[in-house]
Amino acid sequence: MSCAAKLLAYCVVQNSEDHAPSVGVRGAPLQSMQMETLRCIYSPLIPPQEFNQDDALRFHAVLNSVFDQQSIIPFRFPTLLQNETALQEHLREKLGVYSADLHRLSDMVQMELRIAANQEYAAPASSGIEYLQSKQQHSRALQTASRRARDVLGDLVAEWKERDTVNGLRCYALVERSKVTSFRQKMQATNFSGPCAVLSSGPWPATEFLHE
Amino acid sequence: MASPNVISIGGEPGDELSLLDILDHVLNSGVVIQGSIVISLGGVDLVYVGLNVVLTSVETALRVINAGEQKALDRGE
Repeated sequence: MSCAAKLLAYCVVQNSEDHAPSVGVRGAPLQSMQMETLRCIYSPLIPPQEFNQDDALRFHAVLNSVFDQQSIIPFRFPTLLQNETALQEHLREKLGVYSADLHRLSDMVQMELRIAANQEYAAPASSGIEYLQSKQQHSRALQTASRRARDVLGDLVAEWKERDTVNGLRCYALVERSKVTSFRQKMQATNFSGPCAVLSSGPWPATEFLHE
Repeated sequence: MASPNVISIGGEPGDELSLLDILDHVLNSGVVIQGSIVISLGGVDLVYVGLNVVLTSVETALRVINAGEQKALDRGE
């Protein structure tokens, strides 16, 4: 390996015979490092000055092909480590946490909902009181939609998390992989009948439910 | 029948909505290693602009649907 080369870390999985693609970002060969029950997928890479969208999509394609077969703990793109020793140290340090997470989340995926209130709630306010009222109304509409989604999804959701965002509310549902189709069908059949729009996506790796 | 105010996407790279969602996940989800090297990604700002466009598009789609329904009601359909 050239002295300028680094390691691009993709994900950690439970040690198994599952297959990952042979090449990753910028055609670099994919390799794996094993540590007890874990396997980390990475590639040696001479980092460019700036990564681009194609690199990010190739990274996603690698993650996705592994995630299709089993649960993964992905690294954020682009995570570059100096060398194998640095990666080994990281894995040794996190061995317990990663093993527990992968065991707990095996066969689980993350489905997401982005809930946004319509623009009538974002109309400019002419006074402070009006602004606060509008904000309260906006927040109530989002919470009502979130509650409705949870009610509809019921037992399909093992765990639920929410985050406020600039655009509304982002909800994360931990769902068994085998129940993804039911999740989608229930969401598609639900009319939120309020002032909110809902964007549903997934399955994604269950990153919101990691201990880290 | 699909609900008019729910849009589902499943992560296919060919889909524009999914492309933005994929980039959002790849860049913002996952483990961060302290001390790892940080390299910028070209066009990151565009991703965030794009996600706003997605949500705005949902709102716009709803307004069009609602307007259509209102017209149908006005026509007595």
